[in-house]
Formats: sequence, structure tokens, C-alpha cells
Amino acid sequence: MSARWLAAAALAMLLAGCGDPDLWARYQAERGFWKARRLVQRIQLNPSLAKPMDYQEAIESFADVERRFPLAQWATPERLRRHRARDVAATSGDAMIAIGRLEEARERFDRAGEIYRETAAQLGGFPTMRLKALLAEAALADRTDDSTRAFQGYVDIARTAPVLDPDLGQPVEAAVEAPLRVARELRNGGANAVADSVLRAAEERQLAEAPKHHRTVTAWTLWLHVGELRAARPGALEGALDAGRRALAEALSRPTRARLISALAEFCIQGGQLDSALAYTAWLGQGFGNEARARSMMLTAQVWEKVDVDSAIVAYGRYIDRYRNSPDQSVMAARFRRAELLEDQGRWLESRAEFRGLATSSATDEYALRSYERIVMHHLRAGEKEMARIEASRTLEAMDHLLTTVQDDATLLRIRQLRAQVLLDVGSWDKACAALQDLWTHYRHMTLGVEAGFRAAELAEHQLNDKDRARRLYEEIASDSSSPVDQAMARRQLERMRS
Amino acid sequence: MNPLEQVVLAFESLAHAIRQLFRPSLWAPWLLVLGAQLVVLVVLWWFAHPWLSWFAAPVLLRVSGERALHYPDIFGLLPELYARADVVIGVLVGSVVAGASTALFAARFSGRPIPPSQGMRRALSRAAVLVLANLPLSLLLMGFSLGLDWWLVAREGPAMIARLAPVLTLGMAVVLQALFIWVNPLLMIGGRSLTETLKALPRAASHGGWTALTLAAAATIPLLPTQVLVRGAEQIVRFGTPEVVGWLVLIQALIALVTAFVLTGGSVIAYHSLVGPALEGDDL
Repeated sequence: MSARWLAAAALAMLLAGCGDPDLWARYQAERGFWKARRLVQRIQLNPSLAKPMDYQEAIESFADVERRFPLAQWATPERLRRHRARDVAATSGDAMIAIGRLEEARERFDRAGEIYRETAAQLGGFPTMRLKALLAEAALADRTDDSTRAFQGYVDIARTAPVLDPDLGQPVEAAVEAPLRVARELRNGGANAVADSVLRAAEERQLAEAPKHHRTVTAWTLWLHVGELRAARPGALEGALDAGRRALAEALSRPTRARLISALAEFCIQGGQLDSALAYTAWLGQGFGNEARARSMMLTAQVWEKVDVDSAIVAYGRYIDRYRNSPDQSVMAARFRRAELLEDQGRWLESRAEFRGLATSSATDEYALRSYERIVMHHLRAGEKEMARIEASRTLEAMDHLLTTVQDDATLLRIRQLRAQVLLDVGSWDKACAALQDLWTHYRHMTLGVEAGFRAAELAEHQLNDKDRARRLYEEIASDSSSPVDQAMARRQLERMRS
Repeated sequence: MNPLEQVVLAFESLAHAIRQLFRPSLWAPWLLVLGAQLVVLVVLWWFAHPWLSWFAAPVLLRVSGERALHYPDIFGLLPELYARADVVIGVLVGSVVAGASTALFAARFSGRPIPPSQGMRRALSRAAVLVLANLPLSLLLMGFSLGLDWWLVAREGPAMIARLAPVLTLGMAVVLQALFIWVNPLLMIGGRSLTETLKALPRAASHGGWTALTLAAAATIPLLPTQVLVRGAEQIVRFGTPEVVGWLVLIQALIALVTAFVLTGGSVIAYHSLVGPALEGDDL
């Protein structure tokens, strides 16, 4: 009997070693990640009710996943070759990125950035996960208005993002969006040659893959990417159109063909071939459904803007009449653009009616807020100070009402910004200083908040002659700003005021 | 016996069987089914553990694809996977156990109880017949359910039928269960052969149809709440705690076991009181 038990025990021990340890690790990692994500979902239900303890608990749960399956051990080349071990590394990486996002949510931006950088560094051998971490870091830099860091992040992404996701075999959007953004910023800084070389390098990487695929989503997407990269380079329009036509040849469905024809029209507008652009928009407007028709009408109006502004105004008018009741944001965009064109043409009465209509149609819409500002600015530019003051007071009244009713954080920020700007525009220094101080109080972690703080201090010192208030503001910036550069600048201002 | 008397007999039989619930000796054979069900549930729940994954992972991969090897997806698929395994357990183990239980109930009700081992020996000696005689019930149930699904999906059957599909399947299960309820008593108490048993089923149904329908319907009712909950497994996984699905399946299995116990006991009493004597009368 004991021999039988021994044999059974030996068999059990043998079988225990037969299972896949990677599968077990993946299961545990996924379970840990799931449980941590549930805690986050609880926070997301009503973030304003979440306590610091809730964030800490969620962070601890994600950290526990990373502690049990450290990237240093699971993101090694040997393990990344095994697909289940690779999944463990992906889950662990996702847990780290989730910690970063939670730190962002509780406005610990430096810590979030550190986590993203550390994660990207550890995922060097896992390009898609490294890309995720880099994108999170770049988005954080955008959010905190740190343009230098955002630019560096996108440069890194443009250089290293894989053209195709090795696991899914699908094109990676960041591999084209990042080089486009980097090139745009380089061009803005006058570095045209460097911008072109960035775009060429990205194009070559796409071209190395594109001809390998046929009649699939991957095939047309890669050719479209090639077209977009070429269209961003001056003098490469023919190449862009050629890539767009190749994409069209690989497209299988009608909506895809519509999307590609729209892209071809955009390439033509970008490259100044307006006749071809009109030909493509006419093609897009026939037989591809209502959505494509709407897009075609908008593109046609954009083409006419470059040729004959009156025709563009009529084209936007046709679009607005046809899609007036559509919930689409593009109708607001079309109305705003038509109002701008009318103003440029000197038809202020028509323009003002459109701006006012926009401002009252959807008070919290970005175009509505911009419309309020445009009306005030028009009167100021025209030297009509009294009219500007009347319009400004009407705008401020509307903004004060919105501040008590709007809940959305992004809209609240925009309203506070607009309020401060209008007060500055009309030279109401005391109230403008208070509005800027309000911006600094609410958004001290963002560059715009710090800028508002500095501007408020300047107003206090020079316009209101209230040196104590200015000093207090500089002291707050020196101690509370997240950027050492801003802190140093505030300290310099304080020293200047003391001397 | 008129339908009303038959219904009353069914309820009396069930009440009598329920009173036997706390006799451990009658439970002995059912522990085998419970053991098999627990093994399946543990394997599905802990498929990823190295002790089990060497055989569980390839099976799950083949049956439900890569998705089944991920947390929490496995819990969304758990009720369906368990149901498939339970059909096999029911046919291979359940049939023999129900046979043994029938023998034990019959001995108990006749006032000469036998030990569980003797009941099991009797059932094992007729294991092949028991399996084959109970097999059509499982096949017909599966065939109806799959056929209805195919008709509704592939042939785009009417929306009304699609909405009523769970009720139709349940109704068919009750009818088929009622038709085959006398299989085990005919084999284990009546001592009939496989062909004699299958031939006797229509006559048994004509004599005790209402009793059989009442027993089968009554046995289905306790399963309904958990079945409804288990059907929402995907929602529980998405919005709740995935492991809850596992516990629900376990509760469902336990209720099904108790129901099978009571149904077997009830069918033995009803057979003794109604169907057995009527068939013997027919044979004479």
C-alpha cells in the first residue's frame, strides 16, 4: 500500500512540473491587474468622491502586480520570445502605466513622468509596450504644457515606434503621427531640412513594409501613411497622390474608399493643386453616402477659401443649411469659419449675427466661447471702446453664470481663461488680476496656470501698484510651481522687488 | 388513475423522497457524481495551475480557443464549459449512480434496506445498459437545444421564437425528462432488458404521464434561479467579481444533485404505486 502511495505522490510531483509556468504567471498577473482595475473603476464612478486612500489602494494593487512579475525579470529577450511570458510582461507594463495615470489623476505629474520613463526604459525589448509608455509620457507633457519634453517624447516615438504591431500585425498610428508632429514643430522653428529628413526616415520605414501586404486593411493603411508623410513635405505632392492611389487600389470597402478619396483631396489642398482637389471632392460627394457627402462639402468650401472667399462663404452656407440639425460638431466649425470669412470681407453685421448665434446656441461649446471673444476683439480692433465694454460685460455675465452651472473641468478651465482674457482686453485691471489669480489658484500645476500667476503679479505690481499682492503671488509660484525654471524665475522677481 | 390523482401522487412521492434527504446511506452513490462535478469545476477554475495546465490548457484551447486561457474570460465561459462536461458526467457516471440510487430507494421503501456498496454493485453489473438507456435523453435534449439555436441563427427564425427559446428548451427538457423518468425503475426494479425498457416507455408514459410530468416539472423549478443568474455570467464577469460565476455554478451543481436525488426517490415511489403494477397488468 505504501509503495502505491509513494508512486502516486511521485506521479503528482511529476505532473506538477509538466504544466506551463508562464500560463500560471499570466493568469496570476491578469487576475491581479483585473482586481486593481476594479478599484480604479470605483474611483472613476465619481472621482470627486474618491479619497486619497482610494487612489493609494489602487496604486498599491497595480504595484503588487509589478512586484510579483517585475519587468526586469519578465521583459528579458529570452522571456519575450515566449508568447505567454510576453503577455506577463505586457500586463506588468500596463500595471506600471496605470500607476502613472493614477499619479496623474492626483496631480503628481513629476512622479507620473518618472514612472513612464522608468517603464519605457525597462521595456526596451518590447517595442509596442515601450511605445505605450512613451505615448503616456508625451501626453503628460502635453497636458502640463511642457513643450520641450513633449517634443523630445515625440522625437523618441518617431524614431522607435514599430510600423506594425508585431502581435496584431496592424499598422501603428503613432509611427506616422509622431513624425508628422515632430516635423510640424521643426518647421515652425525654421528647421525645414531636419523636418524633411524626419519625414523621409519615417516614410522609408513605412515603404519597407507596405509592398509586402495586399488587399488588407494593413495594405491600404500603410500606403495612406506613406501619402500623409509625403504630403507633409513641400514638393512631394505627386508622391503623396501616388501613394494615395495605391492605397485606393488596396481598399476593399466603400467607406474605406471614401476615406481615401477624402485624403487625396486633402493632399491636393495641402499641395495647392486646387483643381484636382475639387475633382476629388466631387467624386467623394457621389455615391459614398451622407457622411462622405458632408465631408465633400466641407472640403469644397476649404478649396474655395483659397480661390474665391465669396464662393467659400456660399459653400459653407450650403453645408450649414443641409446639416443644420446634425449633432455633428462640424456644423459649429463651419458656422464659425463662415463668420470669420464674413468678418474678413468687412461684412460685420452678418458676421456678428453668426457669432452671436453660435454663442447662444450651445453656451459651453468651444466655438461659442471663441465667438464671445471674437465680438469683443472686433470692437477693440475697430477702436469702438464703448461697444467693446458693453460686449465684454455681456460676455462676463454669461461666463459668471456658466461658472456656477458647468461641471466639466476642461470647460471650466476654458471659461476662466476667457473671462481673464476679456477683462485684460478691455483693461479692467483689478478684475483681470483677480481672474488671473483665480486661474493660478486652480491650475498651478499647468504652464497656463503659472503664466496666469506671473501675469497677475505683473498687473498687481505695475497697474494696481499693489506690491504686497505681487510679492505674495511670486512667493506662491516660487514654492508651489512644479517647474524649477518657473520657481527660479519667481525667486528672481522677488529679489528684484526686495532690492 | 385520473390526472388529478396522478398529480397528487407525484407530490406525495416527492414529499416522501424529500424526507429521505437526511439518510447518508442513500447519498453514498451520489457522492461519486458530486466528486466528478467538483473535479471538473476545480479543473476549469484552476486550469492555469501547473498541476492541471498540462492537460486542462490544451483541452480548453481546443474547445473554446485562446480566450478561455485568460483571466477573467474563463469565468465568462465557465457555465457553458461546465454544462458540456456535465453532460458527459451525467451520461457516464450519473446513469450508473441513478441506477444504484434507484436500487437503494426501492430496497428502503420495501422495508429491506441494503448497504450502498450492494446498490452500487447491482448498478455496476448493469452499467452498460444504464448508460445506453439514459443516453437518448441527453442526446435528444442536446439535439433540440442545438437544433433550435441553429434554426434561429442560420435560418433567422422569428424573433418571438428567439425570445421564447429558453422557455421552449425548458419545456422540452421537462417533457423528455418525464418520458425517460421510468427508465431506471424499469431497469433496476422491473429487471427488464434495454430493448424491453425502451419499448415499455410509451406504455409507462400513458399510465403515469401526469405523474411523470409533475415530477419532472417540480424537479426543474429549484434550478431556475441559478440558471438565470448563470446565464448572465458575462455581465457578472464584466461588472462584478468573476469568481462569483464559479460559486454560482457550484451552487447550481449542488441544487441539481439534490433535485436528482429527490427525483429518483419520487420516481421509485411512483413506479411502485402506479406504473409498475399497471405495466405488470398489461404484461399479463
